[in-house]
Amino acid sequence: MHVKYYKVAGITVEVKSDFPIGESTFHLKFRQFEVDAIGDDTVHIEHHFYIPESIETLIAEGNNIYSKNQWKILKIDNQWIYDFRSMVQTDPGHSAMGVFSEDYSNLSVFTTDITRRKYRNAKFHSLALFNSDQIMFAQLLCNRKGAIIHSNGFDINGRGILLMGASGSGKSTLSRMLKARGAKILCDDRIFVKSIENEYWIHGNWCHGSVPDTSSGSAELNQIFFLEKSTTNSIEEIQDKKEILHKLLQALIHPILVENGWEKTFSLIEGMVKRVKCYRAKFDLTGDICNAIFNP
Amino acid sequence: MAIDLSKHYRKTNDLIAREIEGELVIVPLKSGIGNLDAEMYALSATGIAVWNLLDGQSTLEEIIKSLSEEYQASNEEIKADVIELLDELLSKGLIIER
Repeated sequence: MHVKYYKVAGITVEVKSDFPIGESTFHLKFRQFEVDAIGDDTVHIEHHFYIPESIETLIAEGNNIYSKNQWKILKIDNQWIYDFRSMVQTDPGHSAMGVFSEDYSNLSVFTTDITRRKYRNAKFHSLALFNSDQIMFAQLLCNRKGAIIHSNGFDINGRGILLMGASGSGKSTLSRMLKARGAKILCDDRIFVKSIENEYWIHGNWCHGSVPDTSSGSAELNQIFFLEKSTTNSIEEIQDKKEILHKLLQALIHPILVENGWEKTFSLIEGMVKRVKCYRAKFDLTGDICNAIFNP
Repeated sequence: MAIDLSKHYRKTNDLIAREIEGELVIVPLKSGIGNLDAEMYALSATGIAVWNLLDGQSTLEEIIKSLSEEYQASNEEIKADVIELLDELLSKGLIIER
């Protein structure tokens, strides 16, 4: 089999394929995450280009957990079956069936929708051949004291900061202003957070939003800014922990979780509420707010 | 769904709840699993007081009476709040009739 390795948030993903993996099989954004070998914490993905008969049995006998839009998700014994039917016909992978192990550390993906030639230049946005790897990493992170948070993340001189807010709150606008002043973006729209001994680290990753603006960097989470567009600039620390809790829960991208998974996720959120300084940031379009973010 | 004050209501078994910073965060589960679009609910202190009494042992009338004594508020005042909360909890499938 053909093999490549990618590393994000301390997790190495080994991708093995029946077809040769070309320089353009995966989108260019993956290059910065590529590593040479497996690491201490490695998960495994295999790409196969046939549909085994056993999958039909699993689907027939599986417990239907979720069925919406392009996803049908089933559970049988200690396996999870993800049946992905792309709604975007121009996607190179179209549809794929994934069989995950109980802890999501092993995934076999089956598809017949792509030829060897197309696979070589497919520029996939997901190592799992789905529309995103978010669904896989949300599970993997949950088992590693982590989660995915809907936010834009930056490394500013070694300080990790997150920008959060509802659609239209100005995340993209402020991100552009910070980048123009030299802040290093970790990821647009989705940030991997992991807890290590009461510290929180944010990690760039490839599960971005509409713009593949991402890096493989990491930083210790120092501040969270909840954004409000305004005609003035101000930063005010939020003292009300309940308000922080509500805002973090709104920004949590949670996977399908059994009870134990929720306990872990609650622990992570509770720790963040207690320990991470959170601010209400009002800003106008002058960019003056950036000075306060760069020099807290 | 109309709330009947003479009935007993209790929490479903298929949920997970955790108190964080004085708020009770509740997630509905389905056969022990919370889905991708499972919504989370957070109850404040007064909501938690009602939630804790929804054990299927007392009628809603009894719960309202007990809360109005505890909070020294009128039955009518408490009743309005309880019915509003029960309506929401029922519609989200977090509680059922005993």
